[in-house]
Amino acid sequence: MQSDASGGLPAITLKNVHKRYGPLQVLDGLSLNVERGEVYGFLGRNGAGKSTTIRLLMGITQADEGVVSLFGENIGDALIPIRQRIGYVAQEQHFYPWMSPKALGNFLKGFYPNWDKQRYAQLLERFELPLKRKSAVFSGGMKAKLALSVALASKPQLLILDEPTAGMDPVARREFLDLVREESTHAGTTTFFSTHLIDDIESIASRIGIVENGKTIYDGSLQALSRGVVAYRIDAENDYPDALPGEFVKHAAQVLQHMQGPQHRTLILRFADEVPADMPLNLGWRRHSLSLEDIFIAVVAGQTQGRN
Amino acid sequence: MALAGVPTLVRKEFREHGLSMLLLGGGFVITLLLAHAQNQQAAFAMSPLQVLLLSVTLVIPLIAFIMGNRLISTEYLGHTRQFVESLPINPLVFLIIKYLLGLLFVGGLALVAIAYTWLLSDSGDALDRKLLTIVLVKVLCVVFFIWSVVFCFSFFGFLRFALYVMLGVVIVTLVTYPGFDQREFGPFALLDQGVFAFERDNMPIKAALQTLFMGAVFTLAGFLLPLMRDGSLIESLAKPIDRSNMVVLAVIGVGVLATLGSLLEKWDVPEYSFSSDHVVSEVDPPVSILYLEPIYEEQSKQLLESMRDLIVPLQQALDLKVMPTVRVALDKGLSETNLNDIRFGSADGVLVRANYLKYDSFSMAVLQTNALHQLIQATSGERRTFEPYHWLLDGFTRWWVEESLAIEEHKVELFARAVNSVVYLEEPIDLVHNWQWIAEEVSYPSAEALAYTALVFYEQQFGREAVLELANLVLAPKVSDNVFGVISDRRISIQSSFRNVTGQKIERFFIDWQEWLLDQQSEPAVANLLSMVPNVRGAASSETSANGVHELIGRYEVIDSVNHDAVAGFTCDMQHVLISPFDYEIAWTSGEHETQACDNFDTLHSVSSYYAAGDRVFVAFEVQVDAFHQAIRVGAQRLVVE
Repeated sequence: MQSDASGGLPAITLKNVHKRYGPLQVLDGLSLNVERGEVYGFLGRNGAGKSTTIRLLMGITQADEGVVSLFGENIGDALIPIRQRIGYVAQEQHFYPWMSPKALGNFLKGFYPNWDKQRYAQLLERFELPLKRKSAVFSGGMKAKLALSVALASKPQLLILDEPTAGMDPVARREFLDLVREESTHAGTTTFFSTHLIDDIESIASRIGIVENGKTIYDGSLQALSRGVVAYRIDAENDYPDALPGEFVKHAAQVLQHMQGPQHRTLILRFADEVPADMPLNLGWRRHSLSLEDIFIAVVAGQTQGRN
Repeated sequence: MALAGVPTLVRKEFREHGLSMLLLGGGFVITLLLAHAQNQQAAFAMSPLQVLLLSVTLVIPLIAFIMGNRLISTEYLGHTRQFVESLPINPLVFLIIKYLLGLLFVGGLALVAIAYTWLLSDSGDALDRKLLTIVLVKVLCVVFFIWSVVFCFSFFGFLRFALYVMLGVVIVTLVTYPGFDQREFGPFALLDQGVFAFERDNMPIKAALQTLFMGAVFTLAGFLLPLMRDGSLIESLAKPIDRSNMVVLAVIGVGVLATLGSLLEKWDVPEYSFSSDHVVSEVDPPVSILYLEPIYEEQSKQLLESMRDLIVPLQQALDLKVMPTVRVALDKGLSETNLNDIRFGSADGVLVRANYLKYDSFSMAVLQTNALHQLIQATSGERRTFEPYHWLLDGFTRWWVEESLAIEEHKVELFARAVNSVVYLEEPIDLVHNWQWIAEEVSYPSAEALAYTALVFYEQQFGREAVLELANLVLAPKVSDNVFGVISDRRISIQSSFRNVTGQKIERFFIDWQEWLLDQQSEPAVANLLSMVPNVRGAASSETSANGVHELIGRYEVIDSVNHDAVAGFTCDMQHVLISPFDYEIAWTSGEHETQACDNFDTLHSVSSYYAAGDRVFVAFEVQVDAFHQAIRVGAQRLVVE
C-alpha cells in the first residue's frame, strides 16, 4: 500500500458542496465525512445527486462551491496521485470491448504504481472470469466483477462503488458484496458505496449518508437511524383528531410520515435519541416495526414534506 | 508522475488502431504509386505535383475522416471515454494523444507523398529546395486544417455526418459564389490548381496563416467541446440518434436538398433560340441557322437542308429520343484557316459559329461532322469525348457525313492524311488508349482522318449494319449524371462492345487496319497527294540569348528533299501556348502563331521574351500544303523554358 502522509484525516470530506447543471441545482450544500477504514453507504433516490457526488469524488467534474477533499487533499490539486489511491467501480462498465481481462490488466498496470498482478489473477480466478476472452462478450454481472477485480488489484485505500450491483443476479450480487466486505475487514480499505438498494447497505455498511435534493439529510450509523425512527399506529375506532402516541412526541420528535388509512392511522417519527421500547403510550396506540427500507422511505418522505 | 500513463495510452492506441493505420498507410502508398505509375504511362504525363495535389485534396481527407472516426467518435459513441476518464490520468492528455496521433499520421502520409513527388520530379518540374519548401508549407498547413476539422467534428457523434454535409455545402457555395475569390483565401488559395505547381517565388504566408488560424479554431473547439458542461454535452451528442434528432436531421437534409436543388436549377442552362428575324429553322429535328443579313438566306437554307438530311437518319439509326437544338451562326469574321468555331460545352445544345459562305464541300463536311460530334456528345450526357470512345465518335461522325456526301476527293484527302499520319507516327496506333496523344502529335484533323479510315475498313470487314450496331452500343446510350450512371457506363468497355459486335479483338482489328491503310499508299490519287507533303520535322528549343532574353526557337529538319515539281511553296506555322502540368488536352483558344513562308524549310521561328524560365509550353509545327484543306502537322512537343 502507498505510504500515507495524510495521517488520521478522513478519507473523504465534503463540505457545503454546490453543483449546478444549467438551471438544475444538483447538489445544494452537501456535506459528509467518511473515516478511514469504514464502509460508508451512500443512499438516495434516483436523481438525488449520488452520481454527481461520485463524479466530484473522482475529479471528473468540479464543484461550483464547497470543499471536496480526499485523504486531506483537495481533489483538484492532486488529481492523479489521489486517483491512484482509489479503486472505482462504475454503475455501467465501459471497458474496451476488444480487451480481454489479461489485456486489461496489462493496460491498467501502467496507471497504478501499486498494481498487484498476483492479486488480479486471484480475483479473476475467484470470479471465474476467462482470462483471454474479450470483455465484449461478458454479461453485466461479469463486467461488474471484472471492474471490482481491477479496482482491488490496484490496492486502493479508498474503494468507490457507484451502484455496482444494479442489474446483477442474486448469486453474483452475493459474491460481489462478500468480496467488498472481506476487503474492508482484512485490508482496512475505506469503502464509499453508493446505492439505492437498501439490502446491500444493510449487509455491509457501518455508517450511512442519505442524500435528497442535493443535501445530506442523514449522516450517521445505521443502528442509530433505525433506533431513532419509530412508527406508531392506532386503529380507526380508537382514533380521534390530533391524537398522539404520547406526550413525549411533542418535545423531541419530527413527523416523517403521517398515513391515514381506512382501518388505522400511522405516524412515523424521528427522534434525536433512541426511544425506549417500553415508553408508555396513550390508549389505543401501539409501536409498529419498520424495515430499513421503510425507514429510508420515511426519512426521504419527511425531507420532501419539510420542503413542501 | 502526471505523464505516467502516457506510454500506456499510446500503446493502447497503437494496439487498437495500429492495424488500421498500417492498412490505411499501405493503401495510401499503393494509391500514390499507382497514380504516379498511371500518370507516367499516360500519353501525356502530368507533373507529379498534380498527383500530390490530388492526394492532398481527395485521399488525405478521406483517411483523416476514417482516423477521426476510429480515434474519437468510436471512443465517445462507445462510452469507453468514461472508463479512461476515471483512470489516474488527465483527460486532456488523453485528448492530446489522440489529436497528435491523428495529426502525425495524416501529416506523415502527406510527407511521404511529398517525398515521393520530390523523387519523381524531373527537370521539367524544377522542384528545387525553394519550391519544395513552398509545397511543404502549403501541404502541411492544409493537412493541419483538415485534421483539425475532422478532430472537432468527430466529437459530434452521429451529427457529424450532418456537419460534413453542411461543410460541403458551405464549400460549394463559397466556390461558386462570384463575390468570393477563393484563390485569395486560406486553404482554397493553398490548393489552387492554377498556382500549386507554379508558384515558386512567393511563400503564401497570408493564406498559410489564415489556414493555420482556421485549423487552430477547430482544434480549440475540439478540445473545448469535451470540457463543456463537464462533458455532458459530448455525452448527449454521443447518444444514439433519437426521434427528435431524426427530425432535426431531416429538416437539415431537406434544407440541403432544397439549396442544392435550387443551385442545380440555376446551373441547368435552358436552351435558347436565335431571336433574330434572319433565322431559318426546322422543328423536327431542331436545327436553326442564323445568317443576320437577308442576302445570305438562300445559302443558309441550303445548309439547313443538308443538316436536316444528315440528322434525321442519324436520329433513326441511333434511336435518339431527345434531340438538342443544333444552332449554326454565320460569322463572316472567321478566317480561311478556321472556318468554323464550335463551342464544346453543349449543355444547352449545339452551337457553331461558321463562315459557311466560303465553304467548299470539304469545309462543309467538317462543319457537319463537328455539329454531329457535339450532338452525340450532348445526347450521351457529355461522356463520349472520354479517351476510349473519342476515336469512335470522331470517326463515326465523319463516316456518316462522308457516306452522305459520297465525294471521292474527300475520301482521297482523308486517306492521304491518315496514311501520312501512320508513317509520321512510326509506331503501331492504338486509337482506344492513345487518342489524345495521337491528336496532339498529328493534330485533330489527322486524328479524325485516322478514325474515319478505321471506320471505312471496319465497314469493309463487317458491313454497314455492324458500324451502326457499334455506334448504337457505344455512342447512343445516355449516361446518367450521377455517380452510379458513370460507374455503370464505365463497366462496359468499348473493347467488349467491339468484340460482341464483330467477334474480333479490337487490338487485332487495329493491326489489320494499319496494314490495310499503308497499302492505300499505292492508290494513285492518294500517292499523288502524299507526294506533295514535305517530309520534314519541326522541333523547338528553349534558348537564352547573349543579352539574357528567353527565346523559343523553332527549326525544321528536312528528312527527304522537297519535291518542288509538285508544289510551289509552303507556309510554316509554329503554334505555341502556355500550358500547366495539368493540361491533358491542349486548348488552342489562347495560343499564338508564328507564320512564315518556308519553301526550303531553312526558316527559323523565334519568339523572344514571351515565356519565363520554368514555363511549360506546348509547341506545334504545321505546314500548309495547298492540296490539303487543313494544315499537316510536322512536329509537336511539350517543353519547359530553361
